[in-house]
Amino acid sequence: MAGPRVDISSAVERRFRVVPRAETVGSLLRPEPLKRILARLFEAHSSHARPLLGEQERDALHELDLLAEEAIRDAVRRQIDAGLDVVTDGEMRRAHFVNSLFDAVEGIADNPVEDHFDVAAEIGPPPDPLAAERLRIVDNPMAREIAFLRELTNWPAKVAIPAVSNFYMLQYDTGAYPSREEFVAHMGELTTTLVKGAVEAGARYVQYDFPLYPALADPEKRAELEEGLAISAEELLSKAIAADNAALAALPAGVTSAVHICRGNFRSRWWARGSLEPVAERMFNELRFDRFLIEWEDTAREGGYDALRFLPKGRPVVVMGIVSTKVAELESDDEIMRRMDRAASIAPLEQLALSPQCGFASVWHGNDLDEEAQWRKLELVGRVADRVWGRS
Amino acid sequence: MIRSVERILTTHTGSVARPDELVEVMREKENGRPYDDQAFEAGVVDAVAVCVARQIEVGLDVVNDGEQRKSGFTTYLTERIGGFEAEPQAFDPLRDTGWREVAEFPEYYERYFANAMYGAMLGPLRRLICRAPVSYEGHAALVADIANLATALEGREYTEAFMSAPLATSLADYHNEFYASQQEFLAALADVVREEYKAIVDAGFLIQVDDPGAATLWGHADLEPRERERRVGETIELINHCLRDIPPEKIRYHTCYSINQGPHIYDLHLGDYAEAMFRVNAQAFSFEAMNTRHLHDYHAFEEIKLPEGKVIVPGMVSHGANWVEHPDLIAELTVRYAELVGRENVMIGNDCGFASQAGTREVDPKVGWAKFAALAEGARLASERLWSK
Repeated sequence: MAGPRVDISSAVERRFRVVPRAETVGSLLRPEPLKRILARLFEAHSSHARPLLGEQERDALHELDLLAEEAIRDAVRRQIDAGLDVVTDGEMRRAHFVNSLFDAVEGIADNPVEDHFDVAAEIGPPPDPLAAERLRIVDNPMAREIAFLRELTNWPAKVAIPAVSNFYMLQYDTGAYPSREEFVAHMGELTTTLVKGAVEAGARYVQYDFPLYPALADPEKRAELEEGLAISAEELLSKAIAADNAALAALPAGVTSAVHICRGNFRSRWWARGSLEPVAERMFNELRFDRFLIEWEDTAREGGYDALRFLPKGRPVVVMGIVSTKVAELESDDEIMRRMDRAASIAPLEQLALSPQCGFASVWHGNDLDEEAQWRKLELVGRVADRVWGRS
Repeated sequence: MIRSVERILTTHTGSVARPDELVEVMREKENGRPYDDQAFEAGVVDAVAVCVARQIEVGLDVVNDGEQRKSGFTTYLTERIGGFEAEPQAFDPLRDTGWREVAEFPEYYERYFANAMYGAMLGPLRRLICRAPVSYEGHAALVADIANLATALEGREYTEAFMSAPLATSLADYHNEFYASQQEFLAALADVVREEYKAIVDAGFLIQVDDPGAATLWGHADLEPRERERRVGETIELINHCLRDIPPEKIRYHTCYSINQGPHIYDLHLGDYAEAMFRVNAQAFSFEAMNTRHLHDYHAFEEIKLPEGKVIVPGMVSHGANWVEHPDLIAELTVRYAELVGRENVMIGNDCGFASQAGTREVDPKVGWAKFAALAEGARLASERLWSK
């Protein structure tokens, strides 16, 4: 039972744009009670996915879901009020953004190998679970997420799942699978099944997160991948594009697809750097996503917007992730406008949109800013989008 | 107070099992040992949020905070009232409760009290002696309780919400060395406890006053009739004084047979005390009905007329056993009460709190939730029968 529908009477005159110009990437900061339950639940685990928990934790999980519903209702209302054209459930029920997949399967185990974003401070997200056995789908949390959102509001909503090419990344322990290729292929099958379920439950916008491309754009990560997978970067790029496109084949017409070009996000730390130049042309022209949500708030680390010149005319839309989710300081409207102007000088305005750079809490711990700062930033996204594209 | 105008509404009497971790912090607190105050406050916030969400989820209509902050349904007040000094007390329930059936079944009660009721209290029972003017000092906790409940209810679909507090008469056992008379002492206590009632009602919630006294005619049952009536009258006058200026439609009154699990052979029956109880200026009256010693008590309403405007809340799930009552039985019994007093005058709840003492597990927490689910289903079945006529 979703409870009362989200009251959007405060936005009586508000309408969403058919082509979304303002959206969030996905995750939002979890309220403290949720964080406390999650901390308790995963205290004894290196990886944070529900199937790793025992039967005795079932009650606590149920309580987590009950509290999450309340947080989602609030988050949805505030996203609409902030002027976003698409809302998410803030990933309140997930411990980790990858869990639309890992919460859905059995066969995983705790992964003891940590991947530190900040090596000196030993800070890194909980490692993705390893595949102790060949994975089997036993649930579809993403389908439940969208069903709940649909009960709450008619406002456009999206759900997210890891991009298939993400599973080429070296931090995944392919465990029970005989080869990386078989692992990625099977993850593609699982993804397709889960997305189909979500679409049947009402999803009309599916976002694929953290694909391989930013890693291939980072010289250091690229070298590691070439060595680790014994394959050239160019060949790996082809495989990644093929894997991501294959997953899209399952989407019926009328369902919007997006990919979020992420550089890693945990407690305000990042994982990858480097301009998109080495991958942009093939990414924009060969991948069949309708929208690219690109992290682009720090051009010193992520390169300039010149890579937009490879954008083919007409489609896709690039959602400029230029509002930081990693620092609390609020950017000024003018600063964001200036950046949009710069992007619009390279790509047509009708092929651009605006978002924060990444989620605010890709993992339940969240980034180093508070909820008020988060909402000010989402309101900024809504406000600037209104200035740039207007609202019919 | 919203009544059962379209269907039988459900509620409960107040206390719900606290999470184990919260109980452990509370145990340190109750024993005067160092504890993490922030962890305690955060634990209460979380526990209230979960408790409210679960009540709504299982289908209860009139909900509360599950008394998650409270160490016990009256003991919590000791830290909120000034004017008392605490001294260690050698309390032996077998000797000191004065309950007849405890004297009759000492072997049973020795085993029972070892873990339940007194045995489930988190800290040692202390003798409280009033040695200065009593005053209310619990504002911070009260404000936090109200805020926690309001926050937990935000955006949720429910009918009404309530919070509980005991009656001053429940505190009459405290020793008074300051006031000139017991009457004066009780009147002062009444004013202090009223602070809780007023704040709760001002926050928009119903107030439930907990008073096991009614079910024993406030201890006067054995007196000869005229003296009994005089004493009962005085007690009701004091209770109504305590509730003065609070609209009766904001007040629920709960009574019970004090002992959770036991033979109950000396209990009065509803017919013995109901008329006196209805003289209390409250609108709703909650009492035990699923206790098998009292399953037939509905017959009382064949003789007694429920006063105009009053509502009864018979318990339809017991706190005295860990079976889950069948919804068919709940429906059947609910219909009997409704046919006698009018369906709009009946809500149903549990016999008494599932965790009157925070440390108790007499009703297993999970079983408690299953009981509430059965209660909601029983109400649904009863409503089908009552509104199809």
